[in-house]
Amino acid sequence: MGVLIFIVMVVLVVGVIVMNAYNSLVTLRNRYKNAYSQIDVQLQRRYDLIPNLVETAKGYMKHERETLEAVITARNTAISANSQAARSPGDPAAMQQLGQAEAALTGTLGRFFALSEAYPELKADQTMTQLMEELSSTENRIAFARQAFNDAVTLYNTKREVFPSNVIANGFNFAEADLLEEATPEVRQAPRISF
Amino acid sequence: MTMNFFEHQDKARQNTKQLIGLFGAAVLCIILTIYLLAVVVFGGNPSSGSKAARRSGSYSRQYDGSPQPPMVQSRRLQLWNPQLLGMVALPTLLLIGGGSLYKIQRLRAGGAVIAQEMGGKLVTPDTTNPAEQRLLNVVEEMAIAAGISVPAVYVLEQERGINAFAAGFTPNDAVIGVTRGCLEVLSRDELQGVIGHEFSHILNGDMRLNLNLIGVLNGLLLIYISGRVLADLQGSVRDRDGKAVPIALFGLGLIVIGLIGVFFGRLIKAAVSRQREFLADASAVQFTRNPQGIAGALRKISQHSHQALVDSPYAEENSHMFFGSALRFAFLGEMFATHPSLGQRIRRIEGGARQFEEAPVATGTAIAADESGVMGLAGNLGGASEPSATPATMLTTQRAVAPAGVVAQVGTVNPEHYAYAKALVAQLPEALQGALRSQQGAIAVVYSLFLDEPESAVRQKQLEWLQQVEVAERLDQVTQLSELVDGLDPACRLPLLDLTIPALRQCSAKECQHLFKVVQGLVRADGRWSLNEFTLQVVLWHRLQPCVKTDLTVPVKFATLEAVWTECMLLVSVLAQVGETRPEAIAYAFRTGAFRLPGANPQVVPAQPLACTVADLQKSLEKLRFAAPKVKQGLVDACAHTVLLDSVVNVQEADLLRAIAITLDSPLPPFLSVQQGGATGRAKSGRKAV
Repeated sequence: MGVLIFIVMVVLVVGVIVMNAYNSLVTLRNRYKNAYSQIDVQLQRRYDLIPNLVETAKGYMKHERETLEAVITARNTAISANSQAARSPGDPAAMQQLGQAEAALTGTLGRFFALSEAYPELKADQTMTQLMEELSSTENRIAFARQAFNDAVTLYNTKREVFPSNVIANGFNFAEADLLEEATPEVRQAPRISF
Repeated sequence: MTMNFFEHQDKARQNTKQLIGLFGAAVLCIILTIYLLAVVVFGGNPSSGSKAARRSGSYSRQYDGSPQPPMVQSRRLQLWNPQLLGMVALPTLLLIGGGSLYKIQRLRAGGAVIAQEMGGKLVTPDTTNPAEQRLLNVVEEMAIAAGISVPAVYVLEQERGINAFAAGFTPNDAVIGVTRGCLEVLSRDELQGVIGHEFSHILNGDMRLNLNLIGVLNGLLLIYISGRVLADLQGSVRDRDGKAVPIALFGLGLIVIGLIGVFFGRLIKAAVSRQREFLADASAVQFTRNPQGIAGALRKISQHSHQALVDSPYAEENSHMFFGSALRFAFLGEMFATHPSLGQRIRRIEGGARQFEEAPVATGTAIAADESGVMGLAGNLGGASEPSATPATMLTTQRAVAPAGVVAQVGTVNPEHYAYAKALVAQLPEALQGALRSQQGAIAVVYSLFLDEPESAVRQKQLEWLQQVEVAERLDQVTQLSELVDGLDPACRLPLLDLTIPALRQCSAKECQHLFKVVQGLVRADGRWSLNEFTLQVVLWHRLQPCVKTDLTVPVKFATLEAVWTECMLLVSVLAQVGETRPEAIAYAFRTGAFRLPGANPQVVPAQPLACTVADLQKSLEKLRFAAPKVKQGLVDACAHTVLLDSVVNVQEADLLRAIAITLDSPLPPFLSVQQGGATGRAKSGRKAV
């Protein structure tokens, strides 16, 4: 009789521990997925702004077709990388691909801005000024959102690794999530826009 | 880690649950004690008890030399007596439960009940007493700065000690009571400190807890009282032999047990209340940024002949609500004190003040400076006076607030908002200020606020409507006042509405219903319901709830976001559409806000904002009032991100955001003005037309 009660108690305690660990893992996973959605909103805004920017610049920068096309290509690559990442946020391959695509896009944009220095009329253009301002504030928001995402992922990964939730994580297939980092150190800062 | 408004609210609700747990434990202890007492007095069940005693006596005689004396054995046999337990437990439960429920039911009508019980006299805005006028001004300024409805102010005329209290369920129905001594002895700065302390109780959810505490204590005290009544019967009721009936003895026992109740009550009170006092002191310093004010008030209490004493017989049950300890004698000293000692409080305030000077910059807004293109909640209203300037305050005046900082601002006051409120009241035309003092004038101001453009056909219709439903003098008053109201900055309209509330609070329920009806007519005059009208209307309606309703509690009906998801989406959609004009910008603003909600994912967030009418908006808001504080926090955060996405905040979206926050009982300080943020040299874009 006593043994039976003891066993039932142990089973109950273990059950509660398993349930808690499982639930908190799910909560943390949802949290970083939600954090990714916030990056996604801002990234999409950035991708929407770029064609307008290029369109406006085209009128002034007649001889820089190559650079402009490179920006558009980089944007399109980034879009597909982002849609991949949005489907499975935290997935190492997707995160890495997005990081690289974003880095490439930032790089080409940097070149574009550097070139645009040589066109005073472009600098004076009202639409251009507005677009640039909006782009840079969107980039700041991306940086904030990415920070929040990385924090959420770190929290989740830590929970995955500590006892006893690591047992549950392995048993129920909670995969490790990857941080979203920019690939190359040179583009770690947002492009400087100075008119 | 400092908690924000919503976390305080959550905590207060948890504390209420703990309180109920403690209450249950106290009741259980009391029942057990009474039961044991009854067992001793009646010797178990009187009818079967004697038989059992005889039986056990013969039993023990058979086994002579048994180690247990017969008495003990008979006691043990009768210790468990379900019938007697039922006889004891039922009336006790009824008494305590009934007492508590009765009190809680009475308190549902809000803080005014307590203020009146304590002998408070309502201070009306038309008072001529300069001290009372000053008090009203201090309260009014702080209420506008905090974004809550101006609390009703009561003066406890008979009390000479320096004390004050706040009572109510939500910021919306809060009342503030101040003793006569407090009014006469304290300087304006000190009074401001005391009021700041009370505002902290209002904003941190302490009041709700305090009211529940009063209800619970009332039940526990009731045993003590009924014990005394029973004991008094001793003189009159005697049985045939001229001996005192056990009932009287039982009554004496009840007094002892009642004292257990009093003991528990004090213990609970002390445990709940003391830490909150330190928090409120610290908040008062934060709100006014003037530690000298509240410290000075505490010093004056310690030197005053009446200290903080309150003579009202209700002081005992309400003692935990006061600013200083209201009771004459300390029961078992420090352990049971509802308030920390004055010296301790002064030391903490002044110690905190030193820290405050060393680290003047609030960390919560630190990211704001980095984020370009952010509009600030803080700024200057065209030529508004600077707050009494120290370098620290100057710094924060220049600082913009990021959307992420809005949640932290809910339920706080800072000196910039305080200065704004003062300037706002000061810049109102004299005639308008005069009108706000009387109930009739305030009603006329409300009507003027709802009038359409001057000389328009709609206004003509509205005036005709007023002619139908109102007396002629009122119409004249409206015509006069409307000229002044038309000339105001649109940003002043919502604060002006707030200023009418103290006078309007004197309306009876019937007068309020009439007011609502007339306003509804004014709104309907043009056949459509615009957002501006809705904003004013919903705030007016919400602020006047204490006049119309008898039950002011707001229970949590929706604990999770999922339960109110559609409503949240709708709110964010409306804010996005109000703030932006281009479709893709609207969608962007919507998505930025919507994805801030915890648990948002692409499956549940629509790609485009929802289309909705003002009526839908009203229904959603009404439902969202009953969401848990955590849900409201997420929602306010999402709304703030939508509104503050672009650096231009127009009056309409700012007012709508505030109206939403007000309805959710999450007071948001006013948006001071549009501020161009960032060093990026952004093109100057003017405020959008309303």
